[in-house]
Formats: sequence, structure tokens, C-alpha cells
Amino acid sequence: MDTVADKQKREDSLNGVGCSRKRKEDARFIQGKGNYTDDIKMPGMLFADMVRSPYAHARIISINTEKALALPGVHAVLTAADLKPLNLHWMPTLAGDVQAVLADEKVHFQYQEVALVVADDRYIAADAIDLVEVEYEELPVLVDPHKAMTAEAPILREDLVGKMEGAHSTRKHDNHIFNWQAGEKDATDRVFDAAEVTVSQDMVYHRVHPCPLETCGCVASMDKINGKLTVYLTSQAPHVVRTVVSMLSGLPESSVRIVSPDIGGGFGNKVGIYPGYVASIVASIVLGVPVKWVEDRMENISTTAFARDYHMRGELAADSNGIIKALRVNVLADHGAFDSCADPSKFPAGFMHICTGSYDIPVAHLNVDGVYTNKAPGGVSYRCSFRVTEAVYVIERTMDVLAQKLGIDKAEIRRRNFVKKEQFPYTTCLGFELDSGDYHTALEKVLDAVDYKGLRREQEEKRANGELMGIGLVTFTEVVGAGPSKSCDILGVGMFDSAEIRVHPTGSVMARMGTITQGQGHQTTYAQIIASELGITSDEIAIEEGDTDTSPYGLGTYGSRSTPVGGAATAVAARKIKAKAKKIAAHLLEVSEDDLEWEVDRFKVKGVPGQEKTMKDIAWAAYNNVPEGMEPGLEAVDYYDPPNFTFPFGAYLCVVDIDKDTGVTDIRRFYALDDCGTRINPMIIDGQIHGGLTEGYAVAMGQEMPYDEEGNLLGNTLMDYFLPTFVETPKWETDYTVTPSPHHPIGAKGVAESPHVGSIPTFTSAMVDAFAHLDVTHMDMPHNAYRVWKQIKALGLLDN
Amino acid sequence: MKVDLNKEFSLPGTGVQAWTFLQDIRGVASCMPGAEITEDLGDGNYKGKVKAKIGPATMAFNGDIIIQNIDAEKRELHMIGKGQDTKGSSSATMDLRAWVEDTEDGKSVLQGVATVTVNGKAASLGGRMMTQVADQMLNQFGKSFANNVASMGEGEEAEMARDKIAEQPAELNGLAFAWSVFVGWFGSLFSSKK
Amino acid sequence: MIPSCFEYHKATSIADAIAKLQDNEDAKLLAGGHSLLPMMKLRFSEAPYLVDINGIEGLKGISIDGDTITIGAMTTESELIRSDILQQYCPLLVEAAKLVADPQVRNKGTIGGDVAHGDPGNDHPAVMLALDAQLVIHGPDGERMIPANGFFLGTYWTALEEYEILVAIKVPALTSGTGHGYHKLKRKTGDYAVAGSAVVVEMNGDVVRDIRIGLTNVAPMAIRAEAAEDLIRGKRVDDVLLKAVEKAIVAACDPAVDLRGDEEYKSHMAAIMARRSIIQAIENAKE
Repeated sequence: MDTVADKQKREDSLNGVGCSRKRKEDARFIQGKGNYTDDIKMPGMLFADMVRSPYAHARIISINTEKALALPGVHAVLTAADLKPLNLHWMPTLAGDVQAVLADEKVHFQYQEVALVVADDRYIAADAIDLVEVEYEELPVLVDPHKAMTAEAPILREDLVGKMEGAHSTRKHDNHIFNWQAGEKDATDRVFDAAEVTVSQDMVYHRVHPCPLETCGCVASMDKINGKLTVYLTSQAPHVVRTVVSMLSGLPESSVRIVSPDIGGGFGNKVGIYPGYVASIVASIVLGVPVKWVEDRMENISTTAFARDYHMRGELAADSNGIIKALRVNVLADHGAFDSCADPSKFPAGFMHICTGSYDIPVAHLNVDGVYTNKAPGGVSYRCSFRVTEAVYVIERTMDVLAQKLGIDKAEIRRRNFVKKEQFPYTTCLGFELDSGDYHTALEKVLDAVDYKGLRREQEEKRANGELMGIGLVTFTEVVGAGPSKSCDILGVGMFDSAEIRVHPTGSVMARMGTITQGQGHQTTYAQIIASELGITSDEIAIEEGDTDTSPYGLGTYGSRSTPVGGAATAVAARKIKAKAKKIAAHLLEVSEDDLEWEVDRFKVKGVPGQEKTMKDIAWAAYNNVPEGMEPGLEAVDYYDPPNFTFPFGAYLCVVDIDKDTGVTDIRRFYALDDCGTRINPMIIDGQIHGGLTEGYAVAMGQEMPYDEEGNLLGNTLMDYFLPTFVETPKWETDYTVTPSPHHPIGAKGVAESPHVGSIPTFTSAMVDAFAHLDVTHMDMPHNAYRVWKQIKALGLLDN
Repeated sequence: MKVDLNKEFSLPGTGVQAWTFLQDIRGVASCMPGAEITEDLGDGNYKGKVKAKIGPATMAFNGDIIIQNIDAEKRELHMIGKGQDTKGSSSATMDLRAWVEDTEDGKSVLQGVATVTVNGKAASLGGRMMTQVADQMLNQFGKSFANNVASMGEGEEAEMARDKIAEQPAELNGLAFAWSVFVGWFGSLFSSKK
Repeated sequence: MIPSCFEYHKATSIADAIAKLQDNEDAKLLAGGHSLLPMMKLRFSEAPYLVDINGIEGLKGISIDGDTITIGAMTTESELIRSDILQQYCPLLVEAAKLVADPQVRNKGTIGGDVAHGDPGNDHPAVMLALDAQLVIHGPDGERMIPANGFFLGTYWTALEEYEILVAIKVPALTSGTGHGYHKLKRKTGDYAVAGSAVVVEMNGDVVRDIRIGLTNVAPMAIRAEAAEDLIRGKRVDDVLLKAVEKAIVAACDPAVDLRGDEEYKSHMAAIMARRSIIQAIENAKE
């Protein structure tokens, strides 16, 4: 007899959605038995290394490869001259620009790729690099984006001179890349002109780098006998890479195989195609043997997709009660030497227009201008959800500034302006349709948990005592799950995603998706989704991703899109299987489908206990006993084109104590409440949040990529670049609410980037709050001890 | 990255002797241990090289020296040295103005103002010690220069100075055995003036 | 990040190591390697010949004889931290060692390497100055002993002559009435000091009879803040005096400008670290 307890036991044994089951991939990672790109060994494989420019801006007078080629063990040295006949010395970027593969006549940023050396082993390759003699003529350097469009600015992109029609707009200067706007300029200006209260705050979201543990690399192998090119690659979007490689090489996609093996962290750093990949592929094709290229840490930090470098002005118009009437945001975007941003094609500024945040704002205008400088190319990466980090930063900081001006508490002003629960789905004035949310509940839960009033009282006392204590608060709304193909595409391919699921005769499952995990836990979470849909334990569901020969076409994993899009495809494919399974069950039980109901892992005949078929029974039957006219087998594919993005949200609060003597900040408390809709694996969610908060802490409190005036990148090693260890990292407190997404098959929204998006402005909010009683409205990041001390000194707070 | 340096070296010779030596480009170059002129291209243009060892690190630069201006009235030399390290991964430019001033006691002083710009690997990675290393190199240069000026004179001290020049280490070396000798000698030079 | 080609030789004794240094141009000693190897990986150093002195008898070990502790130059930071003798008789060294780099580096890095390398960011030199240590050196001409005060001459520049090897360090054992303090401000685990200060005091009741203040990474080499010491010697320490001491320390500093801070910040941090170390030293002298 089936009791409630039995049913619970069956439910638990599924280890499905909602269960904090251990990750299936961890066994190999913890034991050092992962299979990363640098683990790949192929017979005859050679090693490539890159000669790079020491200068930020220079003409190449000559390249002499004689000595390098003479070194025993060196097989080839490739330069732009070698790639020119193949028209591969330049390649298209994801943002509609072009990027030099190997520098053609001039270099545009320090460490830019100039020549690829291929040798028997990596040691000879390293020696050969030193032997390549490049003569440069240094040119004036531009590192300040504010100077990029002045009359005196040196012209960087000589290849674009005269081409005033850019990929996204007309260019108003040779160093201008694009102009992008959203909202209504005139209507917004009118509201500002007439407003009771306005605030304006300039802020810099500084350039940082995701610095994944594993750097980028590839093993390119052209098999001349079979005419097939295989590339093992650290890529967050293997199918897109296949399509691009096919286009660049002229090989049909059926002759190109891209494999993303285990990836040691992507964070947006591994979406784009790097010169090292292209040059290695060419080397392999030319030499007929596999060629491995793996960059070192300095190369990774100095040349691959950096994040941010947005110079913003946030303005709010409001009434004296703090009710917002309009928002105006102006951005100067520094993209470095080439615009290689990985954004959906139509959005050169990503989803910056989510900058209306969690608030009910009637009218707004956003203006973004992108410019070139002599720095590494890029701009979108590091858990930013396509510039959502920047958007949330500008709105949350400006809200604080408004609150401060009006003397209204930070939490209160947010309450007054939140989009209310009843207003969802809510279309913002800049064009996003927020799917669901309950901002008030999230905020109150956090304030209660930390005793906000008590903290403010404590702050009063500490201030009277001359101590610096700050409370930061952020209530963010994120946009992830790119995206509906009518608006979202990468190089023309719509941003759907896919899942293919096959149930074996003995009831276990194999599934493949078009996404690719880089540590997010897909092997576990996708299995949990399928387990709950099909009633088969996730222990027996194998998940594979990353091999373009076998997995269905997908756009990859970045911008937290796997759960909203890939997870949706998975659920829908599973439901197709379930629909077929129901027919088979009806056939086996000799009833009509309408007489059946589903319970945990089986179809039961309504009202007739004992008449049931488990999914396992059905799976076996699918291979030998299907109803008349039905084909055998039990599998399905779904390509899911999401109807909308999803909008995870959260409320974060941070308490800091600053040591006046040294500028060192102690993060006393950080409380993070996240709402990502349905929670598939709470333990994995916590892991994601801890990771995102830690990276947020690193960005806000210490990471920076300082360029000096000559374009030298200072601090591009881990000696300087701030990667916090356990010793520095604060203790995170996490909490949650659940507001499912109404349009998602299982109501899940995605979570991985929220902690990064939300935490960074929270730290700044806390730091500024520590000095707010002294009329400080903003402090730019990073809030390292040195910079904070300078602020303390400037405010006259040091006893002297 | 840019480093600005101001240096003043007391010289044991007269202003005339100092200015004479200052115009001897090869001589001046040789005051930087490890440095030498390799080619005189005429017109105030020279090719040179410097090899510097700072502890375990070595940097070897090849480059050009261009005499921008020689002002006999102000007794000032303006030169620009530009070099690349032998691997091409770093470059350094020094814009130096050096001039001689007379002091009241009939001796002289060598004044120098230099802007050193370093680009490439040395700037990215070696930045934190750039000033200190440049400082140390210029200090050693100053002592050598003073030595050369002294040797142009007469008497026992000049004789000792000529010996010291001959003994000068081939390379700038932080483990300067010669350094302690210089310091001792130079100190004794001054104390004997009193 | 791959060094250029080099020859590797294991020295069998101190004499053998010296001979190898003399016979091979540009030969370098390999101790823990954690200052030398990074420079080689960046190809700032292209030492063609490495003389490995790990495993040479007589270069390791910590012993105490009366009121002098002798530490072999090849003693690792981790070994310093674990040493019973040091924990009891020279806790300053233990505290300083704990703040050097990170655990992996501490397992390989040696006190001798840290002292002899000459990087202004190395942590032990200031501690040696505060302890008034004696350095035992072997060279082609035999053995000599020199005080730490005067050993550190500049960036990568010590009083070690060519072909000399630091073989041991002698420090005084803690006596009653002696106190020590150590503070190092750093941006993160594993970093060099923004500024660090090692202080040793000898108390006469409430009066500071003698004091030595060593400062790390705020000058071309580790330095003694002598002017600041003069202000304290023979006095009782109070807030007013400490303010004057801080000023003197700021004046004594000549730090390099880098991503850790400018001259003003680093000098002031040296003063704060020294202040905290002085207070700590006076406190634990009483115990």
C-alpha cells in the first residue's frame, strides 16, 4: 500500500529540484582528475607561444624571425604577413568591429599579439619568443577616454579612418565607436527642468578583470586525412565558435569540431575568440599537426576580456518626498583598442537600460558613447550579465545620493519608489518587461534580520565617538536569460538554447545541452530538473555539454542564461518525453490517457490503486511494446526561444568599520537575500552566491587595472591583482525569497551573477555611508586602504 | 612610467675642469659603469649600450644617444638617451639636463635633472623599484664623474683618482666591492680638504 | 613565465658552494628559491648557473647557548614558526615569520635567503635590526661575523662580498624586562608590506631603557628609525611622546611609490605600525 511516507521516500530518492544534493562533477575536480585544455595531449602535438608588444601604441618597422627560426626545435613563426593571404590577419569581433589577430603594421595596446612561435615544447617556444626581433616606432598614447574625442587626440584605428558609419551608429570622431540611446531624451529633459529636486553624481566603474583560475588556451588539430579540424578550446560558447571558425576558415561546419572540455572558470572571460586560437588553428592547418597554445597569467590579465571601464553620470529628478519623476544616465565607455565586447549584436551597451532598477520610474533617458583607447580590448565580462553590473551600480548609487540630499533614510526612499507586487509584469520606461518580483518583502526581511534600526542607533553613537561605521544597502533587479531571438542574437544566430534527452531501455538517461558549464554545476542541476520531470533519480541521469559534434546547437553559458534558457529547454524536452510516456502508459494499462494521473515517478489510474506504471517500466516498453503507429524509443529535443528575459532580484546589506589610522576596512557583516525564483539546488545556489559575493568584494575593495600615461599596464600579476583568500574574505550570510518567473517552465530565473551585480554597489554604499555625516556623497572604487586613508586625511579626520 | 630625478654632485675640481669633462661624451658615458659608446654617428648622435645588474636581475639595453644642445655659456648639456633591452621587451628613455656650477671655494657642483621613462615589461613588473634603482645608478655615476674630474687635476689625489678609474668595475653591480672603496676614498678626499 | 636555460648544481658543502660560485660566472645561490625563481620566470634574472645549497649539513637548525640563539641560514620560515626555542626565547622572530608571504612560500623560503637577497620588501631584515642580530658569513677568505646594523646597504645590495655566503644568524635570547612588537600592514595574504615595523624594548619599570625600531619596505633597504629611538630612550611612553615618535618615523622614511601607496601613505603607515609595535612591546615586557 502506498503511504504518504512511501511517496516522500520516492520523492527524496529522485534528488530532484529543490534538493541540495552533492554535485556529480566534484568527485573528479576535488581529486585533480579534471580534464582541462592543458591536460589534452595529442600525438605529434607542438606548442605555441606569443610574441607581444611592449608598447601601447607603436608602428611596427620590421619583424626579424631569422634567429627564432634558427633555434633547434622551432617549427614556425607566424606573423600578420603569413595570415594576410588567408585574409585572417584581422578577424570580426562579436560587437561588429574587427580585431587584429597578429599585429598588422602597428600595435594598439601593450601586450598585443605580434607573432606566434611554434616549437617542440613550451620551453623552446619561450626561448624562441626572445629571439624574434621586432623594431618599433613609438607613437603618442591615449589612455584617458575623456580625451579620446578631442581634436588633439592621437588617432588609434587607422584602419577605420574615413569610415564614419560604425556597426551601431554614425561615428563622430575617429576614436568614437558608437552612440547608443534608450528612452526619451526630450521628455526626460523637460521633467528635469521642472523638477522640485534633482541630483547628479559622476562615478567611475573601474576596469577590472575576472582572472579565472584557468587561463585561456586551445589545442588545434587539423586532420588532413579526414579533412576535419578539431579544436579543444576554453570556450563558453563552443557552437558559436564553430560557426565563426567555419566562416573564417572556409571549412564547412560539418568538418569543424569544437570541444570545450572542463573549464576552470569562465566568468565571461572565455566567450570571445582570441588571436591565440586563430593563430594556432592556422598553424595546425599549415603544419598538419596538433598545436597547443595556453596563455600564462600575465597574458590573461593583460589581454583578454576585461570588465567595466564605464564612466557614468547618474541623475534623478524627484519631488520633495523622494518620489522619482525621471532618470537620466550618461555613459562614456572605454572599450580599449578594439570593440570585442560579447554583447547580443543589437546591444553595444549590453542591457545598460535596466538602469531603472527596482523602481517605478515614469520616464528616463540613457545615452552611451563608446570610445577607443590604447588599452586591452573588450568591456563585457566578469559576471556582468551584459553591463547589468554597471546599470545597477548607477541607479543604486544615485538613489543613495538622492536619499542623502533629501535627508530620507536609504531603505525608506526605496520603499517609496519600488515597483509594487501588484504591478507585475511591469514594463519599464526603457523597454524591459519585468516578469515577477516582490521587492518590499525582500527588503523588510533583510532589515529585520540585521536589526536595521539597531544598527543606525549604533552608528549614531559611534559617530559621536569619532568612529567610522557605515551601512550599505542595495535593492537590485537584474536581467538575465538572453534572450528572445527577436531582439537577441550573436552574429545573427538567435539566442535560443537547446536540450536533447534520451531515456535508455533500463530507465537511465543521457542528456546533452547547448550550454556549457564552467563550474556552475550543470551536470547536477540539469539532472535535477529532468529527475523531477521524469521521475528518474538524478543519480542515473548523465549530462554532457561542450562537444559540437554531439550536442544540439546552443549559444553557450554566460549572463546567467543556462537556467532560464537551457533549463527551460530541458524541462520542455522532458515534458515531450513525458507526453509520449503517458501514451505508452495508457497503452500498457489499457486505459485512456485521461484516466491517468502522474505522481512523483509513475502514472496511476485514477481511483484504481495498484494500477500504475513507473517511468522505468515505460522506458523498457518504449523499446519493445509501443502502441500501434507509434515509433519506438523515448527521447526528445527542444530548442527553446524564451518569450522574455528573467529578472532575479535581491536586497543586500553591508556593515563596515573603518580603521582611521590605516584606512583598512573590516566588513563586519554582509547579508545577502536573493530571489531567483524556483531554487533547483539550494547548496549550489549558496555556492554561486558566495562566489559572486567574494568576487564583488574583490572588485569593490581592491581590484584595479592601472595604466600609466604611456599605456603600461601596472599590476598585471597576482602579486598586485587582488584575489582575496579565505583570510581576507568576509563571512557571508545568505537568505532568500521565492518569486517564480511566470513564463519559465519551472519558474526558475538564474542566479549566478546576481551576487556580483548586487554586492559591488553595496560595498560602495557602505563606505560612503561611513563618511556621509561629513557630506561625502560618493567614493570611487576600489576602496583599498590607501585610497580610503587619503579620503580620511582629506576630510581632516587624522589627529595632528 | 616616468621617474623624475634631481641630483647634485659635489666635484673636487674647478668648474672649468668639470665643464671640459662634461663635453667628453665618451668619458661621461663611461662614468655609468657598464655603459659605453659603441659608435659615433656624427652630429651629436651616438650608439651605445648599458648593462646593469641589480642583485640577481640583469638588464642590457642598446640605444641611441642624441646630444640635443650644448650651451657653453650656461655650461649645460642636454641629451636624450633612448634604448631597448636586448630582448625588445622593455624600453627606457632618459631626458637629461646636466650643468656645472662654481662653488665659493673654487670647486664646483654638477647639477642634473632627468626624466626617465620606462615602458614595457620593466614598467609593468619592475615599477616598484624603478626609482630606487635609478637613484642608485645615478649615485654611482656621480661618484665616477667626480673621480674623473679629480683626475684631471694635479697632485696625489689626482693620481689616486686615475688609479681608481682604471680599477672601475666593468658593470654596475650592486655587490660593488668598488663602492666601499669609492666611499672611503671620496670621504678621505673631503676630510683632507679641511 | 618560463626561465631561460640554466645549469643546476647541488653543492655538497659550504666550501664546495663557494668554489662553484668562484668558478662559474654569474652563478647564483639557490636556497628556498622563492625570491630568485620568480625573477627567473619573468626573465629579469637569467642566471646561467644555479648552486643549490639545500641539504648542506650545518646550514640548518636552531640551537641556544646561554643567551645566544644560533639559527642556520637555510632554516625555513615554517621551521622558525614551529621552533620551541624561538617561541620561548625569541617570539619576535616567530611572529614575523608568520606574516611572511603564505604557507607554501613559508615551507620553502629561508631566513638566510630573506636576509641576504636585499629586496627592500623582505621581512626579516628589519627584525634583524631590531634584534641587533649578528650575521655569520663564509667566504673564500674564511669566516667573519658582522652586525645586521650596517649590513643592508640598498636595493639588492648588502655587505656580502663576492662569493660570500650567509651561513647563520645569531640573535639574543629574550631576557626579563625585554619586550617585542611586530606589525605588518599588507593589502592581502602573501603581499609584501605596505609598511612593517619590528620593535624591541628593554624596560626599567615604566621607563624605556633601550629601544630598537626596524622598518620594512619604506626605504631602499630595511632601516633603523634612530631619531625616533632617541626620543624614547630613557623616557616613559605616553600619547604625546608617541605623536612625536610618529613624526620622526615619517621623516625617516623614503619609500618607493607603487600600487601599495604613495610616499605620504607609506610613511604614515610605517609610523602607525611602529606605534602599535612599541605599545605591544612595552605591554609584553611586563609579562
